Amino acid sequence: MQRVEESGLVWHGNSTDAYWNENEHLVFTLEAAETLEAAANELHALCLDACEQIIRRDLWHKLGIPEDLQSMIYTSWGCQDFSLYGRFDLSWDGTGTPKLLEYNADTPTSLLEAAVIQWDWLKDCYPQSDQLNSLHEALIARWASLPDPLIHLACAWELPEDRQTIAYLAETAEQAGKQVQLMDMSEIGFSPSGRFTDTQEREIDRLFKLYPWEWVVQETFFAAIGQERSRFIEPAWKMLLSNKAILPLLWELNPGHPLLLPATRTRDELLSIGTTQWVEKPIFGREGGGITLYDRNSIVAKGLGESESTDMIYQQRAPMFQANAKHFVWGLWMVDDNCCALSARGDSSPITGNMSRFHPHRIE
Amino acid sequence: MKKHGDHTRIRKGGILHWSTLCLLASSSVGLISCDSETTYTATAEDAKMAKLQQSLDAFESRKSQLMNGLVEHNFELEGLGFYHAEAKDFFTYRYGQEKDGKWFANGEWLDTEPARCAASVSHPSADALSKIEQLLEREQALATESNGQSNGSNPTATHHHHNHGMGGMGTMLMMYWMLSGNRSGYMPGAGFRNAQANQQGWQQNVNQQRQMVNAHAAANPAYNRLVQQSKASGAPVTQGSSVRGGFGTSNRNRSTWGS
Repeated sequence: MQRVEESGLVWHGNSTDAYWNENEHLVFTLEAAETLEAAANELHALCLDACEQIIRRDLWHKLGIPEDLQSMIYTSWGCQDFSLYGRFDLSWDGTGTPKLLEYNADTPTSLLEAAVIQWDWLKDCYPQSDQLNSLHEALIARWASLPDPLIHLACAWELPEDRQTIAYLAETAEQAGKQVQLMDMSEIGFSPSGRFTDTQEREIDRLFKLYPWEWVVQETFFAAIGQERSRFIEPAWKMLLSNKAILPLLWELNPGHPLLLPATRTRDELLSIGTTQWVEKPIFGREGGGITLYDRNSIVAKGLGESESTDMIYQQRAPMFQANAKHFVWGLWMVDDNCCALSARGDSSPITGNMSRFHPHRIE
Repeated sequence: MKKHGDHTRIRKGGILHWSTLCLLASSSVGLISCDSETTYTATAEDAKMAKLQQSLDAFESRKSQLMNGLVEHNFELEGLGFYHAEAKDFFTYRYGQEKDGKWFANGEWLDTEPARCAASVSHPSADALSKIEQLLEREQALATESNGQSNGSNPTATHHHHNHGMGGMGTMLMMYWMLSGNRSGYMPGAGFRNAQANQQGWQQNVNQQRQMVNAHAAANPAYNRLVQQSKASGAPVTQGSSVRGGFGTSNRNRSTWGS
């Protein structure tokens, strides 16, 4: 535990409820790791195509995006505003093809443990093994592609795990030659000249916010974003992908795709195609909040957290890899347009929550 | 498949390392980093109170030193000037001030820049104490005149000295402390004797101003945060600078962790 704390993972849980769990690690064949990597790259391409379709075919209503947001997202997509990273959550039991559970496109966390902690574990414990992991280098390279010398990074400061996530991203930005400034979201100022500022009244040229867009749009300063839109990372167009209503749309645009699960906006639609086991998910939610698993109308499991939305989508359940009485979800990390890493979360519940264990992996 | 390089990846002493230490230190003493006052904009009253608080803090931090008779190098006493610790006296100009190619130090204009003063504090000379005593006498007379009072101890009195942000009573109190701490160095006159009679009232006035700041802070919890930000950045709390608090108001009790 001291070793992971030294590397920055300070929310590793306690002795009875450990978040970081290296006692059980996952072993992949190279072929299996490459299957997941290829799936993530293909899903990313499907997602970008879906964004294009939403914009071109005016499919906003499919995601329930209100009119006053559409022009900002439209412009953000048209200008291809800078995106840093995202994480696909996939299920795969080693047979058939991996399936997309959801895309954490806006505020993915567990980044530090995926990029650094599991790599340190590999070096310490299995130096001869490999790992699907070039996340750290990819983040540095992505930051380096920005012209701005100073990057501001903000989150809800009182949350240690969020602070460490932006501190880690700041570390990668510094290694890319950038200056960085960490701050609380509430410390962001808006100057009389129409620019967002930090506490030293410096104008913010680039702001990485570990703070969901669906929260931003409800806040006072959202009305002031205007021309400042392109300075935000993740960009506004990621609202199209972080909204779980993208799942039914992906299925609609790519029916029967082997990497997708049947998904619909109503339960009856899903039942009408013969689905007997499904998941009900709020279109906005974190940590498994609001998720319910059904088997022929009986509830099998329910997420512990609160739902952030009453607007639901319905997705067919997929077989998950199970070992030692745990269900595993695979996290596939995208930086820019490339899959750079694999991570694994395991839980006795089939719903991944905020205390689902992080397990390192190695490739043999 | 892409793999990591083998180079060192997280820098010792880098920003993540620093953040980790902060978090570990905070958790060991049970502190949470930021308060949760998120929707707040600095008002004119905040700016005024922050300035007063800064003055009170500086004033109170000097108290024990002055009561021991020691005066800080380059300390400014309005009406007498700047204290030069080596010369043990007050002069019109700050030690080391440059003007027309000459530098002022210990009462003289020098052709070359003076070395940094060796003393950071010293006891004022008898001459300097005498000047303080005379100034204190004049100040009390002015205070009495401006308030129509005989003893100058009215805590609500206003005064023409504002260099310490607390009005003339704070200045008079500091002069009294300087003189008290150097009783053996000069012959106390009327200025000191009157001050001895009035100093309790002056202290009450300062205490009232401290209470006023505390009351403002208690009624406006985010005020403390503004003051902390100001201390950290070195920039004063000012009205009319960027408005803050327009982000960060949603779901603060929820983590994005696991998302």
